[in-house]
Amino acid sequence: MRRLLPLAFIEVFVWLMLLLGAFVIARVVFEINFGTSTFILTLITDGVRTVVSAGILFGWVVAWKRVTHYYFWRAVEHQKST
Amino acid sequence: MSYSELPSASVLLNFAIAFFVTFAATPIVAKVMRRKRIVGNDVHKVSRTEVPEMCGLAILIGLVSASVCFVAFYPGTYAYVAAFIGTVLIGGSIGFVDDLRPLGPRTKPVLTAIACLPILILRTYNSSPVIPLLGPVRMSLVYPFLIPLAVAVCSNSVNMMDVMNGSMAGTVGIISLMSTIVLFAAGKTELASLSAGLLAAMLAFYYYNRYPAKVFDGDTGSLAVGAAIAALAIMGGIEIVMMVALIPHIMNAFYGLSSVGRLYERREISNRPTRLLQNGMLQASADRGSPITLARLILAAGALREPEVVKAMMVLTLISSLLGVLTYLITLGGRV
Repeated sequence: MRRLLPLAFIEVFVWLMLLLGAFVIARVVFEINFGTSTFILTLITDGVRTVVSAGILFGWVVAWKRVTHYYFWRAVEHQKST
Repeated sequence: MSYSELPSASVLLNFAIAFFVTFAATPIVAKVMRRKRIVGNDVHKVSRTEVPEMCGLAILIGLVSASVCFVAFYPGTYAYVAAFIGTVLIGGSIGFVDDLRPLGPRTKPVLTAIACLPILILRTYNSSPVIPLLGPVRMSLVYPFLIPLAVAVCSNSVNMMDVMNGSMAGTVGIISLMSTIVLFAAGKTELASLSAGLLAAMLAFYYYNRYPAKVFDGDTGSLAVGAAIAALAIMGGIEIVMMVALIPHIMNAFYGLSSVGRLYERREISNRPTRLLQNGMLQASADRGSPITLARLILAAGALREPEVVKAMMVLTLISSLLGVLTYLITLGGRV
């Protein structure tokens, strides 16, 4: 079933992006530190970490959707032309 | 007896009971449903054959019987088994109501979230999920709030995959095989046994539900099975592994929701994602207003017969389940 190859690639892409996201969150986002000496600084640190992590997650979802839409409409156009 | 010291035979015991009970109960439930005229039309057949609905009740009977026998043999596993049965029964009950009187597209996800109550009440979860490359992350305050979300996403994703003959039972069978192996390897034999029960119930049900289907599971079956998968993921601490294995189901639900732009019920979509040709083949709709589902993605490259589409779904689930095993191996590696 050769037609499954692009979908299998999308699956692997989604999986790799998930791992990459986890890696970036572990290595970069969790290193963000504005200090923890006061409650406000702790709040800012945790808040920024959460917002940046949510941004990465959002980017992951958008990339996933774009790749899939690109494949789908390209395949449909190809079918129409043949 | 500590849970991890349960004999491996416990996995086989749960498997055998769930298989035989589901296998025996399915035709009986189908007969009752047919007599009560609870039937649905198989929309992917030119003949639109009438098939008994709500036969997923047999899956519930199989899972509950196996779990009750299991806890009788191994009383030490009571909390896990009670949380599992409770979650499955609540999920199945919501599906039962939905089958008889359709719930709204917003009501169903909210209600399925309630299925997690037995897990929360019996505290059969670990609030430090293991994230790949990150290791265990303490989420004591947030985690209990994520559990209802996980159960709702899981049960509704499985429900949305239940579109063709054998698609739900086949794909969930593959995922439960993966979770049985991972949970057994992790030394969580009690949960591996429950997972083996789910695998057995799926195999037995697939026999009747595969193309051409003699029974439909209805939302009774799919919501219960989705809740069972969520329960295993949460109680076994394999949330990310299960999420990876569920990629085709999540893809299917996510594409549908993102292309329609809101929560929707299949029955309220007038622009169907696929259309049935006179020769019995299925073709992807080229309508821009139709939801982009997994079936439509598979059919984008050309028309196929229904069993071929289901086979493609199962191959994609097998790939995602292998990625799930890889994810588990990565999490064993610990923190980077």
